[in-house]
Amino acid sequence: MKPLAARKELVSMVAVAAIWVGLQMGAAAQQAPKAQLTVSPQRITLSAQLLKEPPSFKGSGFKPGESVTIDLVIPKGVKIKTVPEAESSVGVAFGKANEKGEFEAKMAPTAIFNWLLQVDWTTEGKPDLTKATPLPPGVYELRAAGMESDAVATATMEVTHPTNQ
Amino acid sequence: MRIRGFWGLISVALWVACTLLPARAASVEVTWVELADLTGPVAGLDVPGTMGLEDYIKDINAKGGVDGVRVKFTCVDTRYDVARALSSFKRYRREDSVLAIGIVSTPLGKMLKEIMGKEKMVITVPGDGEFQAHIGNFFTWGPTYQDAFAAAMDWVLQDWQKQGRAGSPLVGYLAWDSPYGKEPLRGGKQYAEKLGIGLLPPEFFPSGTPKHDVYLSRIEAAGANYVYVACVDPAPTNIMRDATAMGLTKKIQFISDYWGPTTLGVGTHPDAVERMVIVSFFLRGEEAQSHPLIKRIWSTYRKEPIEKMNEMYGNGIVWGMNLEAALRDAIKGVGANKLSREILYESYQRLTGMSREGINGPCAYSQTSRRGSDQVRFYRCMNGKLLSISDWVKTPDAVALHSW
Repeated sequence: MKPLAARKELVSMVAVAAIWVGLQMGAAAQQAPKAQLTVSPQRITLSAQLLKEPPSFKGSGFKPGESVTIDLVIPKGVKIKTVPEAESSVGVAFGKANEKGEFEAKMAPTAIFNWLLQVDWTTEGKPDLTKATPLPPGVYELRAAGMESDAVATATMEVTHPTNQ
Repeated sequence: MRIRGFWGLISVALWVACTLLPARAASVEVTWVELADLTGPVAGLDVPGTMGLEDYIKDINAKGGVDGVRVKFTCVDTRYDVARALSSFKRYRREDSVLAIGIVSTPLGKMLKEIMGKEKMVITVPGDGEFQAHIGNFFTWGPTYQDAFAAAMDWVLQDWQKQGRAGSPLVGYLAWDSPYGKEPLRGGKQYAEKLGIGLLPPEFFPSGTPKHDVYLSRIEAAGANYVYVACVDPAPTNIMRDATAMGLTKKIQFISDYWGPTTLGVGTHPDAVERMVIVSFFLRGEEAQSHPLIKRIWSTYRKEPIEKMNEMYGNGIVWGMNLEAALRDAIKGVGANKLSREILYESYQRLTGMSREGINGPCAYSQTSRRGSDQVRFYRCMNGKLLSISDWVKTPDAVALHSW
Protein backbone atom coordinates (compact mmCIF):
# COMPACT_ATOMS: atom_id res chain seq x y z
CA MET A 1 0.00 0.00 0.00
CA LYS A 2 1.24 3.47 -0.86
CA PRO A 3 1.88 5.83 2.10
CA LEU A 4 -0.83 8.31 1.00
CA ALA A 5 -3.45 5.60 0.63
CA ALA A 6 -2.51 4.19 4.02
CA ARG A 7 -2.89 7.63 5.62
CA LYS A 8 -6.32 8.08 4.00
CA GLU A 9 -7.44 4.72 5.33
CA LEU A 10 -6.20 5.59 8.82
CA VAL A 11 -8.06 8.92 8.74
CA SER A 12 -11.30 7.25 7.69
CA MET A 13 -10.95 4.60 10.41
CA VAL A 14 -10.43 7.28 13.06
CA ALA A 15 -13.43 9.22 11.74
CA VAL A 16 -15.67 6.13 11.84
CA ALA A 17 -14.49 5.35 15.38
CA ALA A 18 -15.15 8.93 16.48
CA ILE A 19 -18.67 8.88 15.03
CA TRP A 20 -19.37 5.52 16.73
CA VAL A 21 -18.14 6.79 20.12
CA GLY A 22 -20.21 9.94 19.71
CA LEU A 23 -23.33 7.92 18.89
CA GLN A 24 -22.78 5.66 21.89
CA MET A 25 -22.33 8.63 24.21
CA GLY A 26 -25.43 10.27 22.83
CA ALA A 27 -27.43 7.10 23.30
CA ALA A 28 -26.18 6.70 26.84
CA ALA A 29 -27.08 10.28 27.63
CA GLN A 30 -30.54 9.66 26.22
CA GLN A 31 -30.99 6.45 28.25
CA ALA A 32 -29.98 8.02 31.57
CA PRO A 33 -31.54 11.42 32.06
CA LYS A 34 -29.53 13.70 34.28
CA ALA A 35 -30.56 13.27 37.90
CA GLN A 36 -32.32 16.26 39.41
CA LEU A 37 -33.18 17.38 42.93
CA THR A 38 -35.46 20.06 44.28
CA VAL A 39 -35.74 21.14 47.91
CA SER A 40 -38.83 22.65 49.44
CA PRO A 41 -38.78 25.19 50.92
CA GLN A 42 -35.50 26.59 49.64
CA ARG A 43 -35.18 28.76 52.72
CA ILE A 44 -35.80 27.48 56.24
CA THR A 45 -35.70 29.05 59.68
CA LEU A 46 -34.42 26.83 62.46
CA SER A 47 -37.35 26.51 64.84
CA ALA A 48 -39.77 23.93 66.22
CA GLN A 49 -42.04 24.74 63.26
CA LEU A 50 -39.75 22.53 61.15
CA LEU A 51 -41.19 19.49 62.92
CA LYS A 52 -44.62 20.39 61.55
CA GLU A 53 -43.38 21.40 58.12
CA PRO A 54 -40.17 19.46 57.51
CA PRO A 55 -37.91 20.15 54.54
CA SER A 56 -38.91 17.86 51.70
CA PHE A 57 -37.15 16.66 48.58
CA LYS A 58 -38.19 15.59 45.11
CA GLY A 59 -35.88 14.00 42.59
CA SER A 60 -35.80 12.33 39.22
CA GLY A 61 -33.36 10.54 36.94
CA PHE A 62 -32.59 7.67 39.32
CA LYS A 63 -32.72 3.95 38.71
CA PRO A 64 -36.26 2.66 39.20
CA GLY A 65 -36.63 0.96 42.58
CA GLU A 66 -33.33 2.09 44.03
CA SER A 67 -32.89 3.82 47.38
CA VAL A 68 -31.75 7.41 47.26
CA THR A 69 -29.89 9.10 50.11
CA ILE A 70 -29.94 12.85 50.61
CA ASP A 71 -26.83 14.25 52.26
CA LEU A 72 -26.16 17.68 53.65
CA VAL A 73 -22.70 18.72 52.45
CA ILE A 74 -20.74 20.07 55.39
CA PRO A 75 -18.92 23.30 54.53
CA LYS A 76 -15.38 23.76 55.83
CA GLY A 77 -15.39 25.16 59.32
CA VAL A 78 -18.91 23.95 60.15
CA LYS A 79 -19.05 21.37 62.93
CA ILE A 80 -21.87 18.84 63.00
CA LYS A 81 -22.35 17.06 66.33
CA THR A 82 -20.76 13.59 66.39
CA VAL A 83 -19.74 13.74 62.71
CA PRO A 84 -15.95 13.42 62.38
CA GLU A 85 -14.23 16.27 60.53
CA ALA A 86 -13.01 13.84 57.85
CA GLU A 87 -16.60 13.25 56.73
CA SER A 88 -17.72 15.76 54.12
CA SER A 89 -21.45 15.14 54.40
CA VAL A 90 -24.15 13.70 56.60
CA GLY A 91 -27.28 11.78 55.56
CA VAL A 92 -30.44 13.74 56.38
CA ALA A 93 -33.19 11.93 54.47
CA PHE A 94 -33.82 8.99 52.18
CA GLY A 95 -36.36 7.87 49.65
CA LYS A 96 -37.03 5.20 47.07
CA ALA A 97 -37.25 5.83 43.34
CA ASN A 98 -40.50 4.74 41.68
CA GLU A 99 -40.78 3.01 38.32
CA LYS A 100 -40.10 6.35 36.60
CA GLY A 101 -36.94 6.93 38.63
CA GLU A 102 -38.58 9.69 40.68
CA PHE A 103 -38.61 9.94 44.45
CA GLU A 104 -40.03 12.05 47.23
CA ALA A 105 -38.63 12.27 50.75
CA LYS A 106 -38.76 14.47 53.79
CA MET A 107 -36.61 14.96 56.83
CA ALA A 108 -37.76 12.84 59.79
CA PRO A 109 -38.06 14.53 63.20
CA THR A 110 -34.92 12.68 64.38
CA ALA A 111 -32.94 14.13 61.47
CA ILE A 112 -34.24 17.66 62.15
CA PHE A 113 -33.22 17.34 65.80
CA ASN A 114 -29.85 15.79 64.96
CA TRP A 115 -28.55 17.75 61.99
CA LEU A 116 -30.44 21.07 61.88
CA LEU A 117 -31.14 21.87 65.51
CA GLN A 118 -28.23 19.70 66.69
CA VAL A 119 -29.70 18.82 70.07
CA ASP A 120 -28.34 16.45 72.68
CA TRP A 121 -30.46 13.46 73.73
CA THR A 122 -31.41 12.57 77.28
CA THR A 123 -30.88 9.03 78.52
CA GLU A 124 -34.64 8.57 78.17
CA GLY A 125 -34.47 9.33 74.46
CA LYS A 126 -35.88 12.85 74.54
CA PRO A 127 -34.27 15.75 72.66
CA ASP A 128 -32.50 18.19 74.98
CA LEU A 129 -32.98 21.60 73.36
CA THR A 130 -31.04 23.37 76.10
CA LYS A 131 -27.89 21.84 74.66
CA ALA A 132 -28.72 22.55 71.03
CA THR A 133 -26.08 24.09 68.78
CA PRO A 134 -28.13 24.92 65.67
CA LEU A 135 -26.57 24.74 62.23
CA PRO A 136 -25.00 28.15 61.44
CA PRO A 137 -26.92 30.36 58.99
CA GLY A 138 -25.85 30.02 55.38
CA VAL A 139 -26.53 28.39 52.04
CA TYR A 140 -26.00 24.63 52.18
CA GLU A 141 -25.64 22.13 49.38
CA LEU A 142 -27.79 18.99 49.44
CA ARG A 143 -26.77 15.98 47.42
CA ALA A 144 -29.07 13.13 46.39
CA ALA A 145 -27.29 9.93 45.38
CA GLY A 146 -28.66 6.67 44.02
CA MET A 147 -27.63 3.64 46.06
CA GLU A 148 -27.06 1.50 42.95
CA SER A 149 -26.80 3.86 39.98
CA ASP A 150 -24.54 6.39 41.69
CA ALA A 151 -26.57 9.08 39.91
CA VAL A 152 -26.05 12.35 41.78
CA ALA A 153 -28.11 15.53 41.86
CA THR A 154 -27.57 18.62 43.94
CA ALA A 155 -29.63 21.56 45.16
CA THR A 156 -29.21 24.25 47.79
CA MET A 157 -31.13 25.29 50.87
CA GLU A 158 -30.67 28.49 52.83
CA VAL A 159 -30.68 28.16 56.59
CA THR A 160 -31.57 31.13 58.75
CA HIS A 161 -32.03 31.65 62.48
CA PRO A 162 -35.10 33.27 64.04
CA THR A 163 -34.66 37.00 64.48
CA ASN A 164 -35.00 38.41 68.00
CA GLN A 165 -38.14 40.52 68.29
CA MET B 1 32.24 -18.34 39.10
CA ARG B 2 32.38 -18.69 42.84
CA ILE B 3 30.92 -15.20 43.28
CA ARG B 4 28.06 -15.89 40.79
CA GLY B 5 27.31 -19.13 42.63
CA PHE B 6 27.19 -17.29 45.95
CA TRP B 7 24.73 -14.67 44.70
CA GLY B 8 22.69 -17.37 43.03
CA LEU B 9 22.39 -19.15 46.34
CA ILE B 10 21.34 -15.93 48.09
CA SER B 11 18.66 -15.30 45.41
CA VAL B 12 17.23 -18.79 45.80
CA ALA B 13 17.20 -18.41 49.59
CA LEU B 14 15.36 -15.08 49.31
CA TRP B 15 12.85 -16.55 46.88
CA VAL B 16 12.19 -19.47 49.21
CA ALA B 17 11.80 -17.12 52.18
CA CYS B 18 9.37 -14.88 50.31
CA THR B 19 7.34 -17.84 49.13
CA LEU B 20 7.11 -19.79 52.34
CA LEU B 21 6.80 -17.10 54.99
CA PRO B 22 3.40 -15.45 55.40
CA ALA B 23 5.00 -12.10 54.74
CA ARG B 24 1.89 -10.40 53.36
CA ALA B 25 -0.37 -11.66 56.07
CA ALA B 26 1.32 -9.29 58.47
CA SER B 27 0.30 -6.35 56.31
CA VAL B 28 -3.30 -7.44 55.73
CA GLU B 29 -5.89 -5.37 57.56
CA VAL B 30 -9.63 -5.89 57.44
CA THR B 31 -12.26 -3.48 58.69
CA TRP B 32 -15.36 -3.92 60.82
CA VAL B 33 -17.78 -0.99 60.57
CA GLU B 34 -20.20 -0.46 63.43
CA LEU B 35 -23.16 1.79 62.63
CA ALA B 36 -24.06 2.43 66.24
CA ASP B 37 -26.66 4.56 67.98
CA LEU B 38 -24.32 6.00 70.57
CA THR B 39 -26.82 8.81 71.13
CA GLY B 40 -30.60 8.54 71.55
CA PRO B 41 -33.13 6.05 72.92
CA VAL B 42 -31.10 2.85 72.40
CA ALA B 43 -27.73 4.27 73.48
CA GLY B 44 -28.14 2.48 76.81
CA LEU B 45 -27.62 -0.87 75.12
CA ASP B 46 -25.53 0.12 72.13
CA VAL B 47 -22.81 2.15 73.84
CA PRO B 48 -21.65 -0.67 76.14
CA GLY B 49 -22.01 -3.28 73.38
CA THR B 50 -19.89 -1.20 71.02
CA MET B 51 -17.32 -0.62 73.77
CA GLY B 52 -17.04 -4.37 74.32
CA LEU B 53 -16.51 -5.02 70.62
CA GLU B 54 -13.97 -2.21 70.28
CA ASP B 55 -11.99 -3.49 73.28
CA TYR B 56 -12.04 -7.08 72.09
CA ILE B 57 -10.72 -5.97 68.70
CA LYS B 58 -7.98 -4.01 70.48
CA ASP B 59 -7.14 -7.22 72.29
CA ILE B 60 -7.01 -9.19 69.02
CA ASN B 61 -4.57 -6.65 67.57
CA ALA B 62 -2.51 -6.54 70.77
CA LYS B 63 -1.92 -10.26 70.24
CA GLY B 64 -0.76 -9.64 66.66
CA GLY B 65 -4.13 -9.96 64.93
CA VAL B 66 -5.92 -13.10 63.77
CA ASP B 67 -3.12 -15.22 62.31
CA GLY B 68 -1.35 -11.97 61.46
CA VAL B 69 -4.41 -10.20 60.03
CA ARG B 70 -5.14 -6.98 61.88
CA VAL B 71 -8.68 -5.70 62.39
CA LYS B 72 -9.57 -2.04 62.05
CA PHE B 73 -12.60 -0.91 64.02
CA THR B 74 -14.59 1.98 62.54
CA CYS B 75 -17.59 3.31 64.42
CA VAL B 76 -20.19 5.82 63.22
CA ASP B 77 -22.62 7.36 65.71
CA THR B 78 -25.84 7.19 63.70
CA ARG B 79 -27.85 8.97 66.45
CA TYR B 80 -30.97 6.78 66.04
CA ASP B 81 -31.29 8.18 62.54
CA VAL B 82 -31.88 5.85 59.59
CA ALA B 83 -30.89 8.54 57.02
CA ARG B 84 -27.48 8.94 58.62
CA ALA B 85 -27.03 5.17 58.90
CA LEU B 86 -28.05 4.53 55.29
CA SER B 87 -25.74 7.22 53.94
CA SER B 88 -22.85 5.81 56.02
CA PHE B 89 -23.63 2.31 54.80
CA LYS B 90 -23.42 3.55 51.20
CA ARG B 91 -20.02 5.07 51.92
CA TYR B 92 -18.47 2.03 53.59
CA ARG B 93 -19.98 -0.52 51.23
CA ARG B 94 -17.55 0.81 48.62
CA GLU B 95 -14.45 0.10 50.69
CA ASP B 96 -13.04 -3.33 49.88
CA SER B 97 -11.36 -3.68 53.26
CA VAL B 98 -14.77 -3.55 54.98
CA LEU B 99 -15.68 -7.22 55.43
CA ALA B 100 -18.59 -6.90 57.86
CA ILE B 101 -20.93 -4.31 59.29
CA GLY B 102 -22.77 -4.19 62.59
CA ILE B 103 -26.04 -2.29 62.87
CA VAL B 104 -28.49 -1.70 65.71
CA SER B 105 -31.49 -0.27 63.87
CA THR B 106 -34.30 -2.70 63.07
CA PRO B 107 -35.80 -0.43 60.35
CA LEU B 108 -32.36 -0.02 58.76
CA GLY B 109 -31.92 -3.78 58.68
CA LYS B 110 -35.21 -4.20 56.84
CA MET B 111 -34.12 -1.59 54.27
CA LEU B 112 -30.66 -3.06 53.77
CA LYS B 113 -32.16 -6.49 53.19
CA GLU B 114 -33.86 -5.09 50.11
CA ILE B 115 -30.82 -3.08 48.98
CA MET B 116 -28.29 -5.89 49.30
CA GLY B 117 -30.16 -8.33 47.06
CA LYS B 118 -27.86 -11.25 46.28
CA GLU B 119 -24.68 -9.47 47.41
CA LYS B 120 -23.02 -11.45 50.22
CA MET B 121 -21.88 -9.67 53.37
CA VAL B 122 -22.12 -10.28 57.10
CA ILE B 123 -24.37 -7.70 58.75
CA THR B 124 -25.04 -8.25 62.43
CA VAL B 125 -28.40 -7.10 63.81
CA PRO B 126 -30.22 -7.19 67.16
CA GLY B 127 -33.06 -9.78 67.00
CA ASP B 128 -35.42 -9.33 64.08
CA GLY B 129 -37.02 -12.72 63.31
CA GLU B 130 -37.50 -11.74 59.68
CA PHE B 131 -33.81 -12.49 59.14
CA GLN B 132 -34.27 -16.04 60.36
CA ALA B 133 -37.38 -16.47 58.23
CA HIS B 134 -35.53 -15.24 55.13
CA ILE B 135 -31.95 -16.52 55.40
CA GLY B 136 -29.44 -14.04 54.03
CA ASN B 137 -26.80 -11.55 55.13
CA PHE B 138 -28.27 -10.66 58.51
CA PHE B 139 -27.01 -12.46 61.62
CA THR B 140 -28.87 -11.74 64.87
CA TRP B 141 -26.92 -11.15 68.07
CA GLY B 142 -28.84 -13.79 70.03
CA PRO B 143 -32.21 -15.53 69.81
CA THR B 144 -34.82 -13.60 67.83
CA TYR B 145 -37.27 -11.33 69.64
CA GLN B 146 -40.13 -13.78 69.11
CA ASP B 147 -38.10 -16.75 70.35
CA ALA B 148 -37.22 -14.90 73.56
CA PHE B 149 -40.89 -13.93 73.96
CA ALA B 150 -41.88 -17.59 73.52
CA ALA B 151 -39.36 -18.66 76.17
CA ALA B 152 -40.89 -16.05 78.48
CA MET B 153 -44.34 -17.52 77.83
CA ASP B 154 -43.01 -20.95 78.85
CA TRP B 155 -41.73 -19.35 82.06
CA VAL B 156 -45.11 -17.65 82.66
CA LEU B 157 -46.95 -20.94 82.37
CA GLN B 158 -44.53 -22.70 84.71
CA ASP B 159 -44.77 -19.86 87.24
CA TRP B 160 -48.57 -19.94 87.04
CA GLN B 161 -48.69 -23.68 87.60
CA LYS B 162 -46.09 -23.48 90.39
CA GLN B 163 -48.45 -21.14 92.24
CA GLY B 164 -51.21 -23.73 91.87
CA ARG B 165 -53.51 -21.29 90.11
CA ALA B 166 -56.42 -22.58 88.08
CA GLY B 167 -57.22 -21.72 84.47
CA SER B 168 -54.83 -19.86 82.17
CA PRO B 169 -52.87 -16.70 82.80
CA LEU B 170 -53.70 -13.43 81.03
CA VAL B 171 -50.68 -11.62 79.62
CA GLY B 172 -50.50 -7.93 78.69
CA TYR B 173 -48.01 -6.59 76.15
CA LEU B 174 -46.48 -3.13 76.40
CA ALA B 175 -43.89 -2.07 73.82
CA TRP B 176 -42.39 0.75 71.78
CA ASP B 177 -44.41 1.67 68.74
CA SER B 178 -41.69 0.60 66.32
CA PRO B 179 -40.81 -2.40 64.13
CA TYR B 180 -38.75 -3.72 67.05
CA GLY B 181 -41.66 -3.35 69.48
CA LYS B 182 -43.96 -5.30 67.19
CA GLU B 183 -41.52 -8.05 66.24
CA PRO B 184 -41.94 -10.36 69.29
CA LEU B 185 -45.60 -10.91 68.41
CA ARG B 186 -44.82 -12.12 64.87
CA GLY B 187 -44.80 -15.79 65.85
CA GLY B 188 -44.76 -15.07 69.59
CA LYS B 189 -48.51 -14.43 69.58
CA GLN B 190 -49.13 -17.79 67.93
CA TYR B 191 -46.85 -19.49 70.46
CA ALA B 192 -48.74 -18.00 73.41
CA GLU B 193 -52.03 -19.15 71.87
CA LYS B 194 -50.56 -22.63 71.43
CA LEU B 195 -49.83 -22.71 75.17
CA GLY B 196 -53.37 -21.61 75.96
CA ILE B 197 -52.19 -18.27 77.36
CA GLY B 198 -54.60 -15.39 76.94
CA LEU B 199 -52.78 -12.51 75.25
CA LEU B 200 -54.39 -9.09 75.73
CA PRO B 201 -54.47 -6.57 72.86
CA PRO B 202 -50.96 -5.06 72.66
CA GLU B 203 -50.30 -1.52 73.88
CA PHE B 204 -47.72 0.50 71.93
CA PHE B 205 -46.19 3.84 72.91
CA PRO B 206 -43.57 6.13 71.35
CA SER B 207 -40.00 6.03 72.67
CA GLY B 208 -39.35 8.92 75.05
CA THR B 209 -42.86 8.70 76.56
CA PRO B 210 -42.56 10.22 80.05
CA LYS B 211 -45.55 8.48 81.69
CA HIS B 212 -47.16 5.11 80.99
CA ASP B 213 -50.22 5.29 83.29
CA VAL B 214 -52.77 5.31 80.48
CA TYR B 215 -51.44 2.08 78.94
CA LEU B 216 -50.99 0.41 82.32
CA SER B 217 -54.54 1.35 83.36
CA ARG B 218 -55.98 -0.37 80.30
CA ILE B 219 -53.88 -3.48 80.91
CA GLU B 220 -54.94 -3.58 84.56
CA ALA B 221 -58.61 -3.13 83.64
CA ALA B 222 -58.33 -6.08 81.26
CA GLY B 223 -57.24 -8.26 84.17
CA ALA B 224 -53.61 -9.02 83.28
CA ASN B 225 -51.69 -11.41 85.53
CA TYR B 226 -48.40 -10.82 83.73
CA VAL B 227 -47.11 -8.01 81.49
CA TYR B 228 -44.35 -8.47 78.91
CA VAL B 229 -42.40 -5.26 78.28
CA ALA B 230 -40.43 -4.71 75.03
CA CYS B 231 -38.44 -1.47 75.01
CA VAL B 232 -34.87 -0.42 75.76
CA ASP B 233 -33.77 0.58 79.23
CA PRO B 234 -34.39 3.05 80.87
CA ALA B 235 -37.90 2.79 79.37
CA PRO B 236 -38.70 -0.53 81.19
CA THR B 237 -37.46 1.01 84.44
CA ASN B 238 -39.79 3.97 83.89
CA ILE B 239 -42.69 1.61 83.22
CA MET B 240 -41.94 -0.14 86.50
CA ARG B 241 -41.75 3.21 88.29
CA ASP B 242 -45.25 4.07 87.04
CA ALA B 243 -46.59 0.56 87.74
CA THR B 244 -45.22 0.67 91.29
CA ALA B 245 -46.83 4.07 91.88
CA MET B 246 -50.14 2.63 90.69
CA GLY B 247 -49.76 -0.39 93.01
CA LEU B 248 -49.69 -2.80 90.06
CA THR B 249 -46.44 -4.61 90.83
CA LYS B 250 -48.09 -6.24 93.86
CA LYS B 251 -50.60 -8.08 91.71
CA ILE B 252 -49.03 -8.27 88.25
CA GLN B 253 -45.70 -9.93 87.42
CA PHE B 254 -43.74 -7.77 84.98
CA ILE B 255 -41.29 -9.40 82.57
CA SER B 256 -38.85 -7.51 80.39
CA ASP B 257 -37.35 -8.60 77.09
CA TYR B 258 -33.55 -8.76 76.87
CA TRP B 259 -33.13 -4.96 76.62
CA GLY B 260 -34.48 -4.51 80.13
CA PRO B 261 -32.58 -3.21 83.17
CA THR B 262 -28.95 -4.12 83.69
CA THR B 263 -27.14 -4.01 87.01
CA LEU B 264 -26.49 -0.26 86.68
CA GLY B 265 -30.20 0.49 86.22
CA VAL B 266 -31.30 -1.91 88.93
CA GLY B 267 -28.83 -0.35 91.36
CA THR B 268 -30.00 3.17 90.53
CA HIS B 269 -33.75 2.48 90.86
CA PRO B 270 -33.98 -0.63 93.09
CA ASP B 271 -37.46 0.08 94.43
CA ALA B 272 -38.98 0.67 91.00
CA VAL B 273 -37.74 -2.52 89.37
CA GLU B 274 -38.09 -4.84 92.39
CA ARG B 275 -39.38 -8.31 91.38
CA MET B 276 -39.20 -7.64 87.64
CA VAL B 277 -38.12 -10.71 85.67
CA ILE B 278 -35.80 -10.36 82.67
CA VAL B 279 -35.29 -12.85 79.87
CA SER B 280 -31.69 -12.50 78.72
CA PHE B 281 -29.43 -14.15 76.16
CA PHE B 282 -26.29 -12.76 77.78
CA LEU B 283 -24.91 -12.95 81.30
CA ARG B 284 -26.12 -10.27 83.67
CA GLY B 285 -25.46 -9.23 87.25
CA GLU B 286 -22.62 -10.75 89.24
CA GLU B 287 -22.41 -13.63 86.75
CA ALA B 288 -21.18 -11.11 84.18
CA GLN B 289 -19.05 -9.10 86.58
CA SER B 290 -17.16 -12.17 87.75
CA HIS B 291 -16.70 -13.73 84.30
CA PRO B 292 -12.92 -14.10 83.74
CA LEU B 293 -12.80 -12.94 80.10
CA ILE B 294 -15.17 -10.00 80.62
CA LYS B 295 -13.20 -8.98 83.71
CA ARG B 296 -9.87 -9.16 81.89
CA ILE B 297 -10.97 -7.16 78.85
CA TRP B 298 -12.78 -4.55 80.97
CA SER B 299 -9.89 -4.03 83.39
CA THR B 300 -7.30 -3.92 80.59
CA TYR B 301 -9.03 -1.38 78.36
CA ARG B 302 -11.45 0.55 80.61
CA LYS B 303 -9.43 0.57 83.82
CA GLU B 304 -12.51 1.17 85.94
CA PRO B 305 -14.20 -0.90 88.67
CA ILE B 306 -16.22 -3.75 87.16
CA GLU B 307 -19.30 -2.43 89.01
CA LYS B 308 -19.39 0.41 86.48
CA MET B 309 -19.86 -2.00 83.59
CA ASN B 310 -23.18 -2.42 81.78
CA GLU B 311 -23.53 -6.14 80.95
CA MET B 312 -24.10 -5.45 77.26
CA TYR B 313 -20.33 -4.94 77.26
CA GLY B 314 -19.96 -8.73 77.52
CA ASN B 315 -22.23 -9.12 74.54
CA GLY B 316 -19.95 -6.81 72.54
CA ILE B 317 -17.10 -9.14 73.45
CA VAL B 318 -19.12 -12.00 71.96
CA TRP B 319 -19.46 -10.07 68.66
CA GLY B 320 -15.66 -9.85 68.65
CA MET B 321 -15.26 -13.54 69.47
CA ASN B 322 -17.51 -14.43 66.53
CA LEU B 323 -15.49 -12.23 64.19
CA GLU B 324 -12.20 -13.67 65.40
CA ALA B 325 -13.37 -17.26 64.94
CA ALA B 326 -14.84 -16.58 61.51
CA LEU B 327 -11.68 -14.79 60.37
CA ARG B 328 -9.55 -17.69 61.55
CA ASP B 329 -11.77 -20.11 59.64
CA ALA B 330 -11.62 -17.94 56.52
CA ILE B 331 -7.83 -17.56 56.67
CA LYS B 332 -7.47 -21.30 57.12
CA GLY B 333 -9.60 -21.83 54.05
CA VAL B 334 -8.23 -19.31 51.56
CA GLY B 335 -5.27 -17.55 53.15
CA ALA B 336 -4.99 -14.00 54.43
CA ASN B 337 -4.59 -12.41 51.02
CA LYS B 338 -7.81 -13.78 49.60
CA LEU B 339 -10.14 -12.67 52.38
CA SER B 340 -13.36 -11.25 51.06
CA ARG B 341 -16.87 -10.46 52.25
CA GLU B 342 -18.25 -13.62 50.70
CA ILE B 343 -15.55 -15.80 52.25
CA LEU B 344 -16.23 -14.33 55.71
CA TYR B 345 -19.96 -14.76 55.13
CA GLU B 346 -19.38 -18.47 54.48
CA SER B 347 -17.21 -18.72 57.60
CA TYR B 348 -19.87 -17.17 59.86
CA GLN B 349 -22.16 -20.01 58.84
CA ARG B 350 -19.59 -22.51 60.09
CA LEU B 351 -19.53 -21.14 63.67
CA THR B 352 -22.25 -23.60 64.71
CA GLY B 353 -21.78 -24.72 68.31
CA MET B 354 -18.84 -22.40 68.99
CA SER B 355 -18.45 -21.67 72.71
CA ARG B 356 -18.50 -18.04 73.83
CA GLU B 357 -17.19 -19.08 77.24
CA GLY B 358 -20.68 -18.95 78.69
CA ILE B 359 -21.27 -15.21 78.10
CA ASN B 360 -23.96 -16.29 75.59
CA GLY B 361 -25.17 -19.78 74.83
CA PRO B 362 -23.29 -21.65 72.09
CA CYS B 363 -23.33 -20.03 68.65
CA ALA B 364 -26.27 -21.14 66.52
CA TYR B 365 -25.20 -19.64 63.17
CA SER B 366 -25.34 -22.17 60.36
CA GLN B 367 -26.45 -22.41 56.74
CA THR B 368 -30.02 -22.60 57.99
CA SER B 369 -29.81 -20.41 61.08
CA ARG B 370 -29.11 -16.73 61.58
CA ARG B 371 -29.68 -16.87 65.33
CA GLY B 372 -26.66 -15.83 67.39
CA SER B 373 -27.77 -18.41 69.94
CA ASP B 374 -30.91 -20.26 70.93
CA GLN B 375 -30.62 -20.06 74.68
CA VAL B 376 -31.73 -17.61 77.35
CA ARG B 377 -31.53 -17.24 81.13
CA PHE B 378 -33.98 -15.63 83.50
CA TYR B 379 -33.04 -13.03 86.11
CA ARG B 380 -35.04 -11.29 88.81
CA CYS B 381 -34.44 -7.83 90.24
CA MET B 382 -34.11 -8.25 94.00
CA ASN B 383 -32.85 -5.74 96.54
CA GLY B 384 -30.97 -3.69 93.97
CA LYS B 385 -29.34 -6.71 92.31
CA LEU B 386 -29.99 -9.01 89.37
CA LEU B 387 -30.26 -12.58 90.58
CA SER B 388 -30.15 -15.56 88.25
CA ILE B 389 -33.30 -17.67 88.60
CA SER B 390 -32.62 -20.24 85.89
CA ASP B 391 -29.90 -22.04 84.01
CA TRP B 392 -29.61 -21.66 80.22
CA VAL B 393 -32.95 -22.58 78.65
CA LYS B 394 -33.46 -23.49 74.99
CA THR B 395 -35.75 -21.05 73.21
CA PRO B 396 -38.74 -22.33 71.21
CA ASP B 397 -38.81 -21.61 67.47
CA ALA B 398 -41.52 -18.96 67.32
CA VAL B 399 -40.28 -17.58 63.99
CA ALA B 400 -41.65 -20.67 62.26
CA LEU B 401 -45.15 -19.94 63.59
CA HIS B 402 -45.56 -16.66 61.73
CA SER B 403 -46.69 -16.46 58.10
CA TRP B 404 -43.83 -14.59 56.43
